Amino acid sequence: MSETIAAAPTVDPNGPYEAEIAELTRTYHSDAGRFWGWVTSVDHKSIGKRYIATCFVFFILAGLNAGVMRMQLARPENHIVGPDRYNQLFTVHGTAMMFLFAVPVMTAMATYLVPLMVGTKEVAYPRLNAFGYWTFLIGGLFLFAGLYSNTGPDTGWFAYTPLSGPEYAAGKRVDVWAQVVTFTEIAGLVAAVEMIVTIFKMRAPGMSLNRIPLYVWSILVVSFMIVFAMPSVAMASTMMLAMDRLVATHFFNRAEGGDPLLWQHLFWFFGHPEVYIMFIPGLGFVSAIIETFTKRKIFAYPVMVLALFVTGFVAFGLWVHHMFATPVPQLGRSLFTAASVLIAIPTGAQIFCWIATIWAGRPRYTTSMMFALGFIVVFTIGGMTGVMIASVPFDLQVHDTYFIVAHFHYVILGGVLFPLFGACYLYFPKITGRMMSETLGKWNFWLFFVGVNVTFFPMHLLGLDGMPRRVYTYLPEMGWGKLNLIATFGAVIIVSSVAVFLWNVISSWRGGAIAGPNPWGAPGLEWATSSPPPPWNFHPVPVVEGRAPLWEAGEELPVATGLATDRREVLITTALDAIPDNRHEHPGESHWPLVMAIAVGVTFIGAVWTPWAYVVGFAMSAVAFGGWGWPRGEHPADQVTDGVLPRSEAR
Amino acid sequence: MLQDGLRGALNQSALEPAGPQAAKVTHLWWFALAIATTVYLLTMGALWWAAHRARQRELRGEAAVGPEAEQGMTRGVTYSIAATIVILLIFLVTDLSVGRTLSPVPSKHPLTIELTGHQWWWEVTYADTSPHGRFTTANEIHVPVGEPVLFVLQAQDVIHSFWVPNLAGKKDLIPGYTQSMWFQADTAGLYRGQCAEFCGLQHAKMALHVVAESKADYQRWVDQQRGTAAIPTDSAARRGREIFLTGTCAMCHSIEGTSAGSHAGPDLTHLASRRTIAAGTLPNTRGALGGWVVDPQRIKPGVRMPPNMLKPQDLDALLTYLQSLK
Amino acid sequence: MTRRMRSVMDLRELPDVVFGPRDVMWWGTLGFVLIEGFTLVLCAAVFVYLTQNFSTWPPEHTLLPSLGAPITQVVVMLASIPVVLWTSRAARRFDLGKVRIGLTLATLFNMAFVGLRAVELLVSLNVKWDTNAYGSAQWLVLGAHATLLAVELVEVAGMMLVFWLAPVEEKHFSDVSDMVFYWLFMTLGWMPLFVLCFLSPRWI
Repeated sequence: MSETIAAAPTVDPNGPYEAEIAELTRTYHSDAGRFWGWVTSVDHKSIGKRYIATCFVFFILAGLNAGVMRMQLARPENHIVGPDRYNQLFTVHGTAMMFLFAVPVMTAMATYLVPLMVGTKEVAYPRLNAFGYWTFLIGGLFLFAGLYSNTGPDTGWFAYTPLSGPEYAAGKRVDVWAQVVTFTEIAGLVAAVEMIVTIFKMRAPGMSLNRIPLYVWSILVVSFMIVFAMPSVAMASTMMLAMDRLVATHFFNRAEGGDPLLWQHLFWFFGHPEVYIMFIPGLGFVSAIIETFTKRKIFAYPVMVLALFVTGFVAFGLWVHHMFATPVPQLGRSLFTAASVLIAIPTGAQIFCWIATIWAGRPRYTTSMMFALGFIVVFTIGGMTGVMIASVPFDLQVHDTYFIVAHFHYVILGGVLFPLFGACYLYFPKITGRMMSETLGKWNFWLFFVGVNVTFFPMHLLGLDGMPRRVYTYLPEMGWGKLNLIATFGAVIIVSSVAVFLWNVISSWRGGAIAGPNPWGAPGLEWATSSPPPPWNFHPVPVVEGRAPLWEAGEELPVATGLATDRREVLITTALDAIPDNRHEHPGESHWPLVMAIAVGVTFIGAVWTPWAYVVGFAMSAVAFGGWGWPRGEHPADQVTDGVLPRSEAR
Repeated sequence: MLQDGLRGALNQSALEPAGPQAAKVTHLWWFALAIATTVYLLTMGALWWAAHRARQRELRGEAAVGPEAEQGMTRGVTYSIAATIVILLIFLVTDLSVGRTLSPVPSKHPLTIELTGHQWWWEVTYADTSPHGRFTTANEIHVPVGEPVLFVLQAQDVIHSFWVPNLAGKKDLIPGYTQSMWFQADTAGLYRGQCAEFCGLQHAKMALHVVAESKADYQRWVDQQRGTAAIPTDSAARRGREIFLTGTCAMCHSIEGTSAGSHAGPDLTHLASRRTIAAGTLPNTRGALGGWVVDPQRIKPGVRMPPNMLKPQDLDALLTYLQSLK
Repeated sequence: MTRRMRSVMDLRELPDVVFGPRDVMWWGTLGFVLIEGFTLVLCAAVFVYLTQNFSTWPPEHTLLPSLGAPITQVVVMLASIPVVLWTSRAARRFDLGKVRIGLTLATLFNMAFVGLRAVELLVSLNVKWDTNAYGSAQWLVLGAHATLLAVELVEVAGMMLVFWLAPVEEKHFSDVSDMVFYWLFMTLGWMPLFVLCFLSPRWI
C-alpha cells in the first residue's frame, strides 16, 4: 500500500491514506480470536488459501490410489490388491481427481485471484463463498471415509447403470458416490455464481470488458459452463440414481421402462464440459504467465477471448463421443465427430497467438514460464490423440483401452497440472509475500515433465496392443508387462516431482526471499497491492485505463476515493463498461455458512440411508437460513419505520 | 499345439489386422499418426523458433518489436489457423468416409451369431433357420475364413463390450437393447478378445477366443457342436456324470442330452472342445480344470461359481467326464 | 502501491440501496434462476426421453393424471402474480405497511402452493414414483419444482417475519423486489411443466 509515513490529519484525495487504512484495519479486525476467526472468516483470500490447500490434499490422496494401482499393474497377475479393492481405488482415484481436485482447485485459485485481478475487495457473496468451501470439505471427507472403511464406491467415476444400480451394486458404496457428487456440485455452482457476479458487477472503474485479463475471461466462460453442466450430473446422481437405489424409482431399470443409456447421456452431458471446465482456466493461466514473462501483452486479444467462448460453447456438443459403442444413430455420431474435431481450432488459435507473443517479446525462463511452455508441449500431444479418437471407427478400437487413459492424462496433466504449477510459481509471492525457490522449481518441472511422459506415453502402445481399462490384472502371455513396468517407474518420478513441489512450498512459505508487491514486473491489478494483500485488498479503489494497468500507468496510479472505511463497503459497477454505480456493504465474520454446510451435510449424508434425511435436513437448513439472513441491526440510521424514510433520498 | 495356439492368441493388437474392418482402421491410424506427428513437430518447431528469435533479438540489444511487426504476426497466425482448419477438415472427411464403408453387412444371409454378455462370460448361440441347427457354446467362437459374420449383441445383466481387436472395433452389449455388428476374418488363426466395458469384479478376466478356419474345418466343428453330449463309456466318466447331475453343477450348467438344463452359467456340452476355460483365463487342461472346479474364487474372486469341495476320487471322476465332452 | 496516486473520481455520492439489476443481490437471484431453471429443463428432457420406451403414455394399467388440483394450482399461482407485483412496487417506495401485507399474502400463497403440490403428487398423478419409469419421471418433474416451492416458502416466510419483527433497513426492500423476480420465475416457469406433466399425456 502507500509508502508515505508522515500523515496529515486532513483527508487529501491523492493520499496519504494512513488514517483511512487505520480505520479499515479496525473494521476488518475480528474479535473472535485466532482459531474461531479463521473458521468464521469470509475473506476470499483466507477461504481461497484453505480451499487450494484442501484440493492439494485430495490430489495427494487420489495420487496415492494411483500409486497402488500402478504397483498392482507393474507385473502381470500381481497380488498387491484384489479386484474389490482395486475397483474402489480406481473409482475413488477418478472421482477425487475430477470432483475434488481438478475443478475445485481451479475455482479456488479463482476465488483468491479474481477479486484482486478486477480491483475489488471481495467476491460478491462472502458468506456464500465460505459455505461453498465447507460443503466441499464435507463431501471430500465423506468420500475418503468411505474408501478407508471399505465402503468406497467401486463402479467407476462414471458409475454406469445398471452396474451401479440397486440390482448389481450392493451396499452403500454407490450411494456414497452419488452424494459426494452432490456436495461438490453445490460447491462448484456456488463458485460459479460468485465469479459471474464479481466479474460482471464489481470491477475497478474503467475496466470495461475489453480490458479484463484473459484469465478472468477464462473464469467467466468456465463459470457459465458450470451453471449449465453441473445440474445434469447432480440431478442424475442424487435425484435419479440414488432414488433408484433408495426408493425404487425406475429411471434406469429397463424392466419398468427406464433406460441405462439415459444415465450415459446425462452423465456425459456434464462429463464432457467438465473436462473443459478443468482445462479452460489452465488456458487463462498460460496467458497470464506468458504475458508476465515475455513482458508483452498477449497477441490478438479478441481472438483469444473468442477462442475461449467457442471452446466453452462447442464443449457442450461433444458428449456422445463417449458413447460411440452404444446404439446412437449414425447421423448423430457423425455430428459429434465433426464437433469433436473442430473444437481443436480455437485451442490451436490460442497456441499460435502465444507463439507469436513469445516471438515478439522478451522471454524469461522462470519455473513458471517453463510450466507454461511444458503445457504447450504436453497438452498438444493429448490434443492430437483427441482428434484421432473423434473418429468413430478408430475410437471403436481404442475406446475403453489404455490409449484413452493415455489421451486424457496427457490433456489433463498437460492442460491442467502444468498451468496450475506455473500459476503457483507465479502467484505464490502474491499469496504469501515470499518467493519460491527457482532451483527446486526447475527440479519440480523437469521431474514432472519426464515423469508424465514416461508414465503415459507407453499407455498409447498398450491400448493399441489390446489392453483394456479398469482391469486389476492381466495375463503374462499378453506381453503387456514391460510397458506397464515402465509406466509404473514413471509414476515414481511423478511422485518425486510432487514431493519437490511440496517441499518448495513448505520451505518457501516462511523462508523464501521476501517478495514485494510486484516481483515479476507484471501488468495486472493484483500486483498493485502488497504481498500478501491486506484484508481489504485495495484502498483506495484503483482506476483502470487499459488492458495492462501497471504497464500503462505512468508516474501516478489513478484511483477512486470515497468508499466508507467504517464498514466493509465495496463498489458495484455497470456490467459492460465498469462505470461506478452504487455502494454495497458486505458482512463480516459469520458462523452461519458453516452451520448451513453442516445442515446440508446431514441432509445428503443421511440420504445415503433414508429419504427422511431430506425432511430433517430441510428443517435444519431452514433454521440455518434464518440465522444467516436475520438482520443484525447494525445501522440504525438506515432503518425504516412506518414510512419514515432514513437519510437517503426517495428514489 | 495348445501352446502354439495360446501364443498365437496372445496377439490382441488393433495394429495387426486379420480382417477388412480392422485393416481399414489400422490404415486410418497410420494416416492420422503421420499427420499428427507432422503437425506436432511443426508446432513445436515454431515454438522453438519463436523463442530462439526473441532471444537473439535480446542478445543483439534490438528494440522491442513494434507495431509494424503486428501485421506479420497477424499473417503468421492467420495462415496457421487456416492450415489447421484445412488439416482438420481432411481428417474429418476421411473419418466419416471410413465410418460409412464399415457399416453395412456385405451379404444378404450372413452367418449370424447371438452373443449375450454375462458377468463374467460370453454366451454364444449360433442361429439357424431350423431348431436343429441352433446350438449354444461359451467363450469361444469359430468362423469360416473369408465370410462375413453378423453378431447380434445382448446383455443379461450389466453393460459389457464385445471386442476382438484383430478383427474389428467394439460394440457394447446393453441390457434391454439389441445391437448388431459384423466382421470378417481373412486370415486363419486364433484371435483373442476381451470385454471392454467395466462390468464388475471380474471384468479383467472376461476374455474370449475367435477361431478363424477353413470352411471344411468350420463345418466339422459346427456338426460336432450340434450333437448332444458324448455318452460316457467308462465307469469313471459315468461316475463323473452322476456327480455332475446330482451335485451343484447341474444347478447352473447345461449339458445337452442330460437333465442338466440351467442357463445361469456357461453351456458345457462340448467343454472339452474348447481351448480355454473360465472365459479365457486358464488353458483347458485337466489340472487347470480341477483347480477351477474346486475353488473358482481363488482364480476369479467374485465370480458367481461357488467352491466345490469334492473328494479326490470324485473330482477325478468328474474331470474324466468333463474331459470326455468333446 | 509504490507509486503516487491521483484521485480521478469520488464515490461518496453513489447510492447504497438500489433495485433490480443494479443491485448485486439481484444477480444472485439470477444465478438461482439459471441453475434451477436449467435443472427443470433437464427434468423435462428426462420425461420426454422416457416416452420412447413406452407404446402408450401413460403406460398400460396406469391412469391419466386428474386435473382438479393441478388446474387449481395454476390458477392460484397466476392469481398470486399481481399481488407480488404490487408488493414489489410498494417495496420500491419503501412502504413498510404495504410490504408487510404483501409478504404475509405471499406467504399464504406459497403455503397454498406447497399444499396443492402435495395433493398433486399424492392424489392427482395417479401413479407412484416406484410403479414404472413414467411414474418416476412425473415425480421427478413435480418433485424438483416442489423443492423450489419449499425453499421459497422458507424465504418468503422469513422475509415476512423480518418485516414484522426485525429492525428493517432500506436494503431489505431491495431484497423484497428480488424475491418477486424469483417468484415470477417459480410460478411462470411452472406453466410449461404443468402442460408437460398433466396435459401432454392426454395428447400423446
